[in-house]
Amino acid sequence: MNRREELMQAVRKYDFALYDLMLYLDTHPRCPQGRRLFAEYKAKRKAAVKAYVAEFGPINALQADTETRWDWGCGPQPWEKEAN
Amino acid sequence: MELHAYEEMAEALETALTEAPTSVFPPVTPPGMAYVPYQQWGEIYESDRGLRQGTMFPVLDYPFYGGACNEQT
Repeated sequence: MNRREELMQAVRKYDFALYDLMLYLDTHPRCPQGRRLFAEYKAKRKAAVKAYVAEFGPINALQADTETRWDWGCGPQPWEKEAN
Repeated sequence: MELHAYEEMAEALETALTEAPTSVFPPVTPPGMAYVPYQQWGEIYESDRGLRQGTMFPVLDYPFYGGACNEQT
């Protein structure tokens, strides 16, 4: 797994954890442990996305950096090997 | 269902929503209805294991062992 894949895998697993915990919290809204773990994974995901975007550019257009240029289109295109 | 039974059930449900559930059965179990055991908080997979297994909750992790013999993948 190259560096890019490693960072993306972190985003994927935290996204998954959050989604599954969301389903749990839908039926257990007052579960303190569930809510605490959700908050933990939210922070982890935020850091993982930040790390990925800093090194490999935006994952979605909302993360595009418009300070210096519109970099949304700069990364490898989805159909290119590097993007998968 | 007389009115008071309904009120009792509504009140029990109301209290149930205030605390996290501690039993597998809902607080009110009217006869003739089916129940699914209520999931309790318990062990949680690490996120990479959870992503592989398809759930963060070991209690919900029912891998499919298809195939003729029963060797576990």
